[in-house]
Amino acid sequence: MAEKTGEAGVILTRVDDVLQWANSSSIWPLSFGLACCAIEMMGTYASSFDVDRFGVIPRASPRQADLIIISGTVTFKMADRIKRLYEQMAEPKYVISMGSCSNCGGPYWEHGYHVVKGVDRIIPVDVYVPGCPPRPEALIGGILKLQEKITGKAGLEQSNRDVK
Amino acid sequence: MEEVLEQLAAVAQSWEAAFKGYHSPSSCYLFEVEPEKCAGLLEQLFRDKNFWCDHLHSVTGEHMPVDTPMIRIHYHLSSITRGFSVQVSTQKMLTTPEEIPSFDSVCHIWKSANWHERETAELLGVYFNNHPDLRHLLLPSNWEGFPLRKDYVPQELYHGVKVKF
Repeated sequence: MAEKTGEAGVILTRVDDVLQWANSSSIWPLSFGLACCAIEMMGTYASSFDVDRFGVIPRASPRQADLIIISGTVTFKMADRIKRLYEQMAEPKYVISMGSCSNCGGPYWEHGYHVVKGVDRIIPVDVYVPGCPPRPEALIGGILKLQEKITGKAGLEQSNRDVK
Repeated sequence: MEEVLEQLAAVAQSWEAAFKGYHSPSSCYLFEVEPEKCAGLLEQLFRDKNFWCDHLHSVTGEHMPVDTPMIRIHYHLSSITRGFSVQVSTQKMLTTPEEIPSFDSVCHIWKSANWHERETAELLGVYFNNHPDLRHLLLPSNWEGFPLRKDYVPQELYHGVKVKF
């Protein structure tokens, strides 16, 4: 603005908008992977796809993380741990369910006695990314969708996050 | 190979084990033995310098529910020094479908049997006598039922979460 007008300017906005903008531009996910989807997730973090440009930097502690990407098959043994990790995260916290397994059980839906048929039975999910496993582009699409949701552009209310 | 076969046959006879032939795709000699004598036969295959079966590939099993219901346990061994493989099988009949048959552990012979036996025990519903630590290996410790039994029905809920789709 200073360049445009030659003098220092004032931007008028709402506190909510600033917070949402800050929030959506620094989504820090938890360093957490489960199965083959985690390999794609690692590829997404790496230099070829570089999600750092969206402010997405994996953090090693749930207390520093805003987002948990459930990237893979959720077994019942893991489900208790995922729930605990989610509960340890500070609000506001978001969940991306990545891949068929964590969306609905995937190929294990019928005979996988050990698989939770959808991570939304344990924790509330914000964005579902389909694929088996999804390409990094798809996961980036999911992250962008989450940004839209945080800034309120997707027309989605926070309140429709419920455990099924 | 001929020589090994003769020696194996002699040992098998002394443990009243039946020689079931040679499986050429896996180059493996097959033996069938009574469950009470299984650990003894395996120990001799490990210690006897003619065989030196120093590598235990796997301990596994199967549930056969039809006709005579039984649990079969298979041990796959290899002698790296002598260059041959053996499969020793043993079985116990089930008088009731819920019965948990017990077999002798071979953990004192091969340390690697420890986890194999834990897995076989939790998935098939068998017990290994003298096993040092027979907790669940893969399943949660409070899991109900034995998933590799043919009559297995998964539990309705686990920690309040529905198991079925």
